[in-house]
Amino acid sequence: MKRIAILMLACAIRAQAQDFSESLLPTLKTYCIDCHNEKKHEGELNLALFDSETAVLSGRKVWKRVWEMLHNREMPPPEEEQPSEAQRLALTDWIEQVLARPVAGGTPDPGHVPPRRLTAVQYNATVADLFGVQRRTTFYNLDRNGGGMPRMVRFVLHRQFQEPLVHLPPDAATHGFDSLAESLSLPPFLMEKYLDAAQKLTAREDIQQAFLRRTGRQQRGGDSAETDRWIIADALKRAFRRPPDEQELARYTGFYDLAIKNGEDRTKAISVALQAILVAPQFLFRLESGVASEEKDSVRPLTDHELAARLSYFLWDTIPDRELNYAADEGRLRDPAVLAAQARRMLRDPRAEEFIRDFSLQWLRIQNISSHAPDPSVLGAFNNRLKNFNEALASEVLLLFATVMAEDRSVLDLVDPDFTWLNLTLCGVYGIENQLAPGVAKPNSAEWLRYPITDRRRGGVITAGATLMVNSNPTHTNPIKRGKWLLECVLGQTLPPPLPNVPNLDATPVVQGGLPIREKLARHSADATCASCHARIDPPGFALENYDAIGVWRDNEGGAAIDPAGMLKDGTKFNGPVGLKDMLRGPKRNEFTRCLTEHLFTYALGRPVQYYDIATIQGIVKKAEADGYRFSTLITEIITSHAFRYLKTKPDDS
Amino acid sequence: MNILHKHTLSRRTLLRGAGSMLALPWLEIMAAPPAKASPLRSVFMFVPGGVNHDEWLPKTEGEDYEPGKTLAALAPVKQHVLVLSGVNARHGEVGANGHPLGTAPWLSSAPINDKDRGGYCTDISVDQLIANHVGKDTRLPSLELGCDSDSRSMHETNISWRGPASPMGKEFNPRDIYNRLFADPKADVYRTSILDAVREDAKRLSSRLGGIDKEKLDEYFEAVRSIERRIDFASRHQLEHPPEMRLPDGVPANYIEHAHLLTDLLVLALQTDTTRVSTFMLNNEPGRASWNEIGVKENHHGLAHLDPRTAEGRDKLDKLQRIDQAYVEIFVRMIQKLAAIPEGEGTVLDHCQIAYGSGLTWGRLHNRDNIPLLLAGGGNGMIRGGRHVRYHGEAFADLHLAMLRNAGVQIERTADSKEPLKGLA
Repeated sequence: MKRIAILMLACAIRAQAQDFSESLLPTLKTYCIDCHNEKKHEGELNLALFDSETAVLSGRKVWKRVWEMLHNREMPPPEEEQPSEAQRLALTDWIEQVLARPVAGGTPDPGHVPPRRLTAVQYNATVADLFGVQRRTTFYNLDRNGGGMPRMVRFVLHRQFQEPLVHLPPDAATHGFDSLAESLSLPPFLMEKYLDAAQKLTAREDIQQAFLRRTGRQQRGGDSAETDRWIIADALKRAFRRPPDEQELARYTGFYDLAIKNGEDRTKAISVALQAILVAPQFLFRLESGVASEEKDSVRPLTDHELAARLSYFLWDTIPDRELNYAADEGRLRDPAVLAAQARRMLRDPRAEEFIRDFSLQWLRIQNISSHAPDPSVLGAFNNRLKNFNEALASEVLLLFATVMAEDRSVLDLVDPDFTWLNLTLCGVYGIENQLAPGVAKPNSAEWLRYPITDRRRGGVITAGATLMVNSNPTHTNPIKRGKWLLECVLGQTLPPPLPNVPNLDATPVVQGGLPIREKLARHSADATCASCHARIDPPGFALENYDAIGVWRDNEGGAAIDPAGMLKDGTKFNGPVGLKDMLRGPKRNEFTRCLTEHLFTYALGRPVQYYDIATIQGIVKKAEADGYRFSTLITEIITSHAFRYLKTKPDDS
Repeated sequence: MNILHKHTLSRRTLLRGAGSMLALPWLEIMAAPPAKASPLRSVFMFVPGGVNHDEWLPKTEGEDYEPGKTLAALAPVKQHVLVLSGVNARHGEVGANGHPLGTAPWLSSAPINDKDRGGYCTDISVDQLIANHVGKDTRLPSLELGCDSDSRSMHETNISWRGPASPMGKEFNPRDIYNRLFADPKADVYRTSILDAVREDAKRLSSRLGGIDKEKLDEYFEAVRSIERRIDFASRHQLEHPPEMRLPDGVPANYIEHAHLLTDLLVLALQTDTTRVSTFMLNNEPGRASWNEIGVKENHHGLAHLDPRTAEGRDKLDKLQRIDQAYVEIFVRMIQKLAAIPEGEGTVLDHCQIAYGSGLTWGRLHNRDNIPLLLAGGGNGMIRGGRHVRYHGEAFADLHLAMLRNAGVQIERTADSKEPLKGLA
């Protein structure tokens, strides 16, 4: 049976090999190689090098970009002859498969994730759970509300969102998230903070009490050294997110013994052991690499405990709870069905509020919204409601995300929902105050009510005040920023970096003032150097010009009517925000889903999407499409993917 | 071939003080400072986004140079400050462009290559090369400060690097900074044995790893070692009377107040010889969202991208100049303070070399030729201020090299440097 399968696989691979030279290579030759050859390597790309499938296999990194260009219909350029849709699809499908294919006889590449230091958010959540310190949830508590989002939520998102147990410096980001292994460094001053925090936290009486309560010291026979050792062993397992080995057990219970020998009482002795655990590398880093290169191609399945930790940090930003740990202890998490069931449970747990905050604010690049300072001239009537204005805008997005998650709705509702959450401030910004039906309650500023949407100019992330404001300048809108944001965060396109020779700008015709912004930018984009990118970036930004720099609707700008029509580089037309939503619900729904999936995937794994992941991502999008784009489908497909459940132990660069 | 850029060297070796590895015979001719001389302090102050270069560049050279609008603000400390123009920060001149290139490699001039993570190259920076050399003599080997605490890309938020992809980070909270400087590492009796234990664990784990995995554990290992060193140093040099300073609990909402507090802490750190090396990012790239403190409502980045030949540019570029000036005034205030503290035969400032500038020239062009640069302090006799010196395309790394040699780091060259920048004294 197995042999037959392998035989079939071999045939399939051979069939694809034939495909390349016989049917795909001619397409490449006709449409691509004219510009991308040895002599004329446009975009520093020479496709003539790839005359066989073997050649492609050995130079695969380049092909991720080729795939993106073809998939997004950026290439061939519009003025050149275009391949048929069938030819294009054949090419992109083939590239996906080839990029994901292991080297002959090998295992598919799940990617390598270097040790990840806990982020400031993860550290605080982890420490709180380790000690059993109660954490407050502010808007995501489904059980308390009969299993769903409540009718009314009362909360104010404060500047720091929540007072953390320990103040740590913000973590730097790469690829949009601050939780990626590559950018999480550990400079000396941060280590000093960890040491001080460990000492201070373990010395706090309330924390000691919470910890002993959580571990049930009393019930376990109370005050005996044996119980205490058990408590420390349990804390080690939770802190290291796996059972400790003998050496670790001895090392850290050794601190308990040392303290007792120094004449400390038992509670203090436990604190000393905890103090050491809180600065151990096994605690501060999520380590998965383990034993290197003994497995075939250095690929191995994750252990149950590693899976549990990946899952809990993905959905909760903290350590596994008792139930997840238990499933790991019993070796059940290797079963994808069990893993998926755990994820569905966890998405409904109050701890998932951390995921909503941490993921959605970073995905939408509004995590620094508090420091955005719109100009009073733009704020106008909202000047006197400035307190928590920015936070209110962010809260709307969080509540939208929470609702999609809680009700397991289509992810397309993130863009185009039939409801939205409003407090008093947002009612004002959106001009809804006067539209409410008689008898419908109006919220105050700390109360959020859910309203059905009849006017599609409102609701969803692309017309949310938060994203509109953050992608504006303090005094006026910035269509370039908005366009770039829409392409990168909603449509999942990769934009090239600014041109290396921008001094050319000085040779472009100078634009005089007094024109509506669209005309100014049209002239700016008339220059061929600039136009190559701005013809692509600016139009989706213009489609949102009806929203001012804080998201208030306007019909005119600079005395002229706003023209919000435009099209994407591939020719897809849209008109204004509703047109954008039609596009994202219609022809571009899989692009939006791919974009969201890529962001979730990056966040879940702590590494950027690589060339070998494209097939996985596209597979998830197809599954989602077949399943009504349900939110939980994205999550369960990610966590049951090869990339999530397996690990390449060897780093890419070693 | 610059030894620092041979990637075959393990990063551990680099972290352990690449600067002091080389002892080149021809450097012996350099005059060694007398034994009891005041130690040289090195400070690097960074401003984001380039400047309004039309208003920055002095119109003439030499001692009687005619400053533009922005550098007229140097008047109170003019004799202490050297204005350098015509220096380029090209870092090998390849690859992507934009604001991160004006930040991450500012103090290393690391060239870009396809091995870089995240698209921008990083390598050990000048301040850390110096800290590796002189840091053992002070309570803190180096001090990294910054006013901005927003979460952004690591390449826009760091100028100080221990090695490739390994930023030093920075502190923004005045009270935390004070505690780090002057409160002795409060080791309870267990700290030493805890550090021993976790260091052993890190070593054990690291031995099984390779590549970036090992680098991550090495960072941990080095951080632990640096703390052990601090504890050891503090035990031998008891701080009997920590200087007093009034500090708010949190971070002041007013930016200028915040920046002043941080410079005051920096001055105190230098004066007390608590550290001899510091970097200070007056802000992250690409600049602050607005400058309400000086009545500029627009965001810095937006202003930096205006074209002076447009009506809007002509209209608003003076606001960019006002921002540039506000930054320079923070610098001037610090120089004044340092010049007022007697030390040895002169003042603390005489024993400082303070570089100030941006990694970009004009924000809108993202160019790095003729970057805005100031050099302040006496540099223990190696810098003579009160002048504008015009260079002709010399690399910023040449200034790095000059400052390294000033600080006693015996290094042949760094990145694209050719020779130590001449004409400083």
